[in-house]
Amino acid sequence: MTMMTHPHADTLTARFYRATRVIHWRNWTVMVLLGIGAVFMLLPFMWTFSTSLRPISEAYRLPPSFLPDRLDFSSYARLEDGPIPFLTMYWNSFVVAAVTTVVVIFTSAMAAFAFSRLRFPGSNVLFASMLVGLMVPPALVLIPLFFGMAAVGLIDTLWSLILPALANPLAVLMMREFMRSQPREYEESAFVDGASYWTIFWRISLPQMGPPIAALSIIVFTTSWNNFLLPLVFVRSFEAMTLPVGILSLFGSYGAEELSVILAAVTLSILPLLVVFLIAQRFIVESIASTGVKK
Amino acid sequence: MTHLELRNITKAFGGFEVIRGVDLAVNKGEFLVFVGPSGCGKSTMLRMIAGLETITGGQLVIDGAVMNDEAPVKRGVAMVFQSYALYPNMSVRQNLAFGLEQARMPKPEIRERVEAAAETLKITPLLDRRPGALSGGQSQRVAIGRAIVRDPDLFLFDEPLSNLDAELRVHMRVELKALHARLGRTMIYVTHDQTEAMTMADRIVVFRDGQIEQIGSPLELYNSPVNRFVAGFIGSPQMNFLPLHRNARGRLQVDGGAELDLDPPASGDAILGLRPELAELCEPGAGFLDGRILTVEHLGGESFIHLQPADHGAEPLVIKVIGQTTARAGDLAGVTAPMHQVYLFDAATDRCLMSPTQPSPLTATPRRLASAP
Repeated sequence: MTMMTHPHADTLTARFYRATRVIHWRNWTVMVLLGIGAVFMLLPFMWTFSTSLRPISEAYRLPPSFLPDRLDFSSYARLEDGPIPFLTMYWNSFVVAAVTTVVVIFTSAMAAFAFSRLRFPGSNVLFASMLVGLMVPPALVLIPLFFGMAAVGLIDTLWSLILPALANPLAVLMMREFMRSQPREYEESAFVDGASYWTIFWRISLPQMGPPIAALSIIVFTTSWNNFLLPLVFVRSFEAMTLPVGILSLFGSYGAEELSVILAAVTLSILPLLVVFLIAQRFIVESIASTGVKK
Repeated sequence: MTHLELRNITKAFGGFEVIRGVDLAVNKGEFLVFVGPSGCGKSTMLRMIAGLETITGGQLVIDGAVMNDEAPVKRGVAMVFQSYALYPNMSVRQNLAFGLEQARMPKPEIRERVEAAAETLKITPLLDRRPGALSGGQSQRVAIGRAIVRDPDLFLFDEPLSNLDAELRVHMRVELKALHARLGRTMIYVTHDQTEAMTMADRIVVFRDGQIEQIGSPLELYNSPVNRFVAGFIGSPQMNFLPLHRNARGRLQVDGGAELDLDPPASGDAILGLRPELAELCEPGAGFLDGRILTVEHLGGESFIHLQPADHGAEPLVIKVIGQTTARAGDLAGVTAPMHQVYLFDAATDRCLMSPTQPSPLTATPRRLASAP
């Protein structure tokens, strides 16, 4: 492009290329700044990862080295022999997060369909009262919730972690706002075609909700995976424990001298989040690319 | 034979009446066009017939049965939306089959019908594409296909051509009309485009403010509009309106112009309606009004001359000339028209007092001029 010659220096084309050079220069500045930010974000992860792969003595060496001299996976091996059933907790965390995510997305999509597409008396009042739930801090309902769970005998089970997370006003809000931004004609057309509400929801509305579903998958899965408060209060036995509290108790029994083992547990606990994020993010990009094509 | 009957239908959104007592009988096999400016209630009326809006008051009767609260399927209607509303997650084939699947039709019959509809609309090669991969015209065909595949008794079209470019619109207009002739089904078509209404309709229903202003064939509306609103809405370019006053001799005179050679109504002021195609340019002073030419639009086969009357408060007039014209912007010119071709409206009520289809007011025998609705 820069090789392009033109008899008149100040043509629109020439001005356009000068303008793009300015944009390039600005882009580079932004890239460098973002790059520095990214390094600061990634350093703790790198340190965690590399420390999990070497003896603790190497980890505190000065000046710090971010790459271990040799790879040592013994910390990972020692996890399962340690004081906590790591794999059980890992599985528990996964079950709780996966069930919560699937159910929340499904129910909030149905609620969003009702709130944005069906006209029924009291729908606005119902929606507003549901939003009130957003204003209540989770810690506030912890004690009533505990007594409730105790009354139905669910304390110390995975259900005590799953059930409270299923009511998710934020998810309903996000889904509803997305649906409201979509044309109603799809549903109306299906209605005239004789489809039932369920068919309309399942075959017409839900397949179009890719972007909020992907975004919510990340949010709900991450929130559930990282949830510390509920397992701390509701779960006592290791059999129903999830990772956040489990890793803490690992820290309690090992202490700083076995940091490599703890960081190996932390590293493993990050992996599912990365997987969910990568899958969902790809889906977000795809669905934006497919709906963004305007004729 | 009456297919659909609207009996004093009303519709209110939270106390605000958007349809205010509509009575209408639609004949079987008729192509009826609802026309009117945006917000006049024509789309709402259509959606009420489809079953997408509840009916606040009155009766909707289809084939003799009251259908106010029945589901769309029971009413035997299919609808084509302005945005086409093709399900983006389904192929064209699945889009066409969707309505039939809902009716639990056997699979082989569905395939047969889908292919027949695709054949009719020449979209067979597109059957396995997704809506995202279709052009505007193709999407339009698929949307119509989705309606005809169900073989409904009543087709409802909600401004189906407004998203197409001008050339394609003319083309689809002709095709839709041909489709109507072939299927022989009742069709109700909503548009704000009077050209579409004029070219396609058996009868036109003109809506304004939630009420029907006039019902009639395209030429009836053109020749004998009941009031100034219908006269202004039907015909392109729009009819020119010139305010008239009663002069000292009791005759009607153009504001800022000359006396008109026609019998005035019994009392009051009036408004002259002048179709652009019937007005003529003449030497200044020779017509009933003088003005300066603002612009001339040359279309080759015809020309539109925009003329600003000398009375500067007045609206510019449009005069349509067949062929080409030597008139230029800035020229002074007069306007004249054969007096048996003009319209006269009551200045107070906008009612049409005189239209060209009625006997010429120049005849010796005095005739009743008013055509009360």
